[in-house]
Amino acid sequence: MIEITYFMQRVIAGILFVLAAPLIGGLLEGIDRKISARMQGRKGPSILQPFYDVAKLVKKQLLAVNNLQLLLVTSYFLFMVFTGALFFSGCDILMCFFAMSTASMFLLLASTSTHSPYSTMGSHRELIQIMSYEPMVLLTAVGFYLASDSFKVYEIVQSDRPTILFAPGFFLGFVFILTIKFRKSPFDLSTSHHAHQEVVKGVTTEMVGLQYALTELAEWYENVFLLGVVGLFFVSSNPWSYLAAVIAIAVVYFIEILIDNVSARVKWQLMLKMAWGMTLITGGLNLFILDLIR
Amino acid sequence: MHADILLITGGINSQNEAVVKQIYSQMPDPKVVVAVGTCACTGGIFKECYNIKGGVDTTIPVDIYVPGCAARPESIIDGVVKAIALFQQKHEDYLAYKKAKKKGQQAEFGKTAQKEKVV
Amino acid sequence: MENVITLLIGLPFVVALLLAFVTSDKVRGKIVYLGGLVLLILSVAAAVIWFGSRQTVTFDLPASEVLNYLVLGGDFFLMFLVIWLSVKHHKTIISVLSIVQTLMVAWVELFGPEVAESHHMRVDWLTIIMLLIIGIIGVLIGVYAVGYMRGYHMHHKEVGDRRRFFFAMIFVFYGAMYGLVTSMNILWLDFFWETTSVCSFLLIGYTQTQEAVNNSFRALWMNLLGGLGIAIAIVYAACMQHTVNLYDIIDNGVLVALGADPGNLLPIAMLAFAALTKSAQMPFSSWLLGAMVAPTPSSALLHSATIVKAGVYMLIRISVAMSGNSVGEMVYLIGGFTFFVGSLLAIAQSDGKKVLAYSTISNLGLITACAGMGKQETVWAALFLILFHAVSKSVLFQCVGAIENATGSRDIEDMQGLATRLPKLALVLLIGIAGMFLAPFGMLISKWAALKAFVDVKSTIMVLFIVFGSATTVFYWTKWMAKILGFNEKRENDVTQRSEYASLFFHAASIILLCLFFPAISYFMIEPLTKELFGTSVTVITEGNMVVMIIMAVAIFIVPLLIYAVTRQRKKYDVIAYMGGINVGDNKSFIDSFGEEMELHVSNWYMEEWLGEKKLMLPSIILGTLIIIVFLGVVLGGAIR
Repeated sequence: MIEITYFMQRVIAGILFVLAAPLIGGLLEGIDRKISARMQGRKGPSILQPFYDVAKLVKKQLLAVNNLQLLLVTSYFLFMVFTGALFFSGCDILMCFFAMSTASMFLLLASTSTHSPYSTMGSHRELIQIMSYEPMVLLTAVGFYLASDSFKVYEIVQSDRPTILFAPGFFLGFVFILTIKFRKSPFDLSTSHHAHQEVVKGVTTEMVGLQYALTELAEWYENVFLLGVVGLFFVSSNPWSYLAAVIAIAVVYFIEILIDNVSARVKWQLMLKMAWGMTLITGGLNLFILDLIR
Repeated sequence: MHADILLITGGINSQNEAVVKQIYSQMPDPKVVVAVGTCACTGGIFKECYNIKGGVDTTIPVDIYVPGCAARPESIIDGVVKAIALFQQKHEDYLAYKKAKKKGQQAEFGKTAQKEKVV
Repeated sequence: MENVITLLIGLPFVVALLLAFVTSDKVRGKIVYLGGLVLLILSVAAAVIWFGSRQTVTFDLPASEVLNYLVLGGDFFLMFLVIWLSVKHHKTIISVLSIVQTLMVAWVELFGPEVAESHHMRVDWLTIIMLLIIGIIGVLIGVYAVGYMRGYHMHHKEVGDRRRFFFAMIFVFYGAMYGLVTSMNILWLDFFWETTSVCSFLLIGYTQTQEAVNNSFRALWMNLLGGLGIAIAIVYAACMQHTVNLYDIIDNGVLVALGADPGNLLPIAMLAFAALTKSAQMPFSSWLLGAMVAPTPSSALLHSATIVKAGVYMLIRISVAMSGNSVGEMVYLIGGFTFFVGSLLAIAQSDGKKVLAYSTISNLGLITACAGMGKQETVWAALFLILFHAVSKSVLFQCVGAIENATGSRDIEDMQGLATRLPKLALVLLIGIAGMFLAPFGMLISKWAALKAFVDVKSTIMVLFIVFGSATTVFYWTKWMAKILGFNEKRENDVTQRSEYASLFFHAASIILLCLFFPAISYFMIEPLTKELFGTSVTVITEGNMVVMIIMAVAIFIVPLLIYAVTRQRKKYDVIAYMGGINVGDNKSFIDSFGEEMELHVSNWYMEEWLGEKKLMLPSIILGTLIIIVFLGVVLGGAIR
């Protein structure tokens, strides 16, 4: 009986994610825009602006370069929703990350299928970004496994002590590559939220109306999922740990916005070196130390 | 290619005519075009040059004209604000048009420009 | 069972002999089809008989005593063949390798110490799976080869027609592989091992150009070096352990962990070394790359179903004895390292066949690492990798071959928009690529199992190899996939023959079936296999994950089909792509600064100066050699002490 209620809880959590993530993701982006604007001495749009934008995109005319793109963008969106739902319903975290890279691959295929030079360039940069962050993402899963002896999220949240105590290095490394995943400067190579450092619009160059709205939504789902992973570092069987997780998420998100506003885009070589270097230093060292003391 | 409002800040010559046309055609409906500066509005002092065709409206429909040589910042802002308002309205027109089309009625959209001038 | 196995080993040699004398192209084709069909039926029959009893059987072939001498004679025949060919091509030094090992083996056979009597053949789970891989995938490549070689000699007039020899060699190959996976007596295994080495050498040199000859000799000396390892293992086992039974040697190796003489690891280490050369792991990778000069069917055969699989077969066979000792460490370090470096090198390649070659090397690295780990979960993962790799790689090679025949190029840059140019081939190619790295059960699940196992044994460096290696793997496959999808409106003439398509679609369908019936395969075949090797039963993958992966698999295979459906018809689209407003009515050309039309070519990134062969090959060979020398030194030290 307990097992069934437990299972129901997990299903409900997954459904809740699917319903609430766009709201949270949109609000987060609204807050991001507001804070960024204030950092730059502007008033900034309303916090609800991202929702207005997406609503407008949905209603615009759909001028497709080809009909394959919409199919691939939809796959990207569905896989992203699937990734997050897996995570919040407590499934295997490594599987979540595999699903996430599959999703990113669909975005990439969507943008190359147009034969447009700008979006192709964007997608190759996106590919380099995937290559840069992937090792750290997989290592993060290893970090959780080391701390709580399981890849399953629902077992990780039941551990006695939060993961961060064992895996501070993995956490640092993950926050570092989060800059790439959030498409924040200095690593917003494939497509940027800032017009001033963009070659047209990278991967999303050829995306119009509904397609573009879907990529935006997928990005919100993705952001919520990634911030969930950040929170997971702090969660333990103690109910108060959820508060700590929320605070940690807020701090990390603010730091990402700050980094975004104080740095300029770097070249891909530097990004690859930095990301892999950070992965080795933080994740690798943490792993090594844990291997020694276990 | 996603865009709502197209700002053009120069006149049309035989080199850029096709380019402007192509970019305009790549924008999804609803869309608004703003011509900024005297050159973009009419061709300005270059109007009689051998390669100049004239203002932007010789090539694509222009909704908002922002004159001035050079156009003053305030009037550019004013033009953009007007363009946004116009975009809102066109947006609603577009939705009504789509609805009508769905029902199978005769409807038209985007054939005429607004031709509004900012002073 | 005994009769079926006898036929499986004997028949290919007979067919080969027959093919060597048939000059008519038509008759040859018929013989190949018929022989292939019989082999296929026999392999499946062996599996069916096996499923009836599921009992490991050991037995002797009829007239074993005579066959013993025949094997010895065969060894000498191969030796003289190698001597003759290497003297003829002024590479006499290579024959020394062959002479030394043949004499060692002959000494054991004729004058060696008394060894315990035992049977010569053995059939168990692993054997059955290998029989199926060889019997289905290997044989289909032979069928494909009939049509392909016809086209090949039409296109390549400069290459002498030696098809009699080619098909004979392919059948010898089958026979040797069947013998290799069923042999219990290590002397026999050595003979079949040498036969595959010499066969691959002869197949690589098919075109007889200077490049082909050089590459074939490289393959020969590397494989002979591995054969030397087996010879040493034989001599050691016969002298110190008084046995020539492979399974006794493995059992002795397992006992080391329980405090037996550490010298028992030496034959295991030598066998592992031989397997590393055969499966083209890092210091020995170059022979597999060189094998690309051969016509496509032989590279498909070498890569997917046969020779490299002989190496990993051996590794899985001895994996029990490698668990948690220095031999295992050597094998999984080499494997992990090769996995990472192979995928890095694949990024810098634009030749389709070369990308496939490097991906084979890299993938085998992962299999090797899993086998070297010697844990039940990793061996389970390794077996799935073998299955998926065999099918996907075989279809990819055939597909690239067909694309080359149709478009005249196998360069990935020339495959722009293949989805609209040759939709059917593109569909097969997409499924093949998806099977290689997307299929949740192939790459993904073995990465999952391997990561877990390496974290458990606290191997930091291996965890790092796996995470970095999987990041780079995604890079080169996605890049290729993206290229195929790029739109290019012109439909091209598809010259692929029907027999080729039969093989291609059969393979594509099997990838999908493998995915869909994954739980069944795991439950009915792979789990009993690992249970047989390790004695305990472990469910590697939980039901929850299984469901998740089935959903992903369905999504992944539905998508290529939808892509095919969508791109098959040419259609006029609403709008052209953005190129700063200067494209000329389509997405392929633009107006340049002279006001003239210019064709647009969007190229993939290869990062040649970062990851090229020139930059990475030498350091990795040196590093790989160092790892092997150090660990062999450790094992040898243990044996002497």
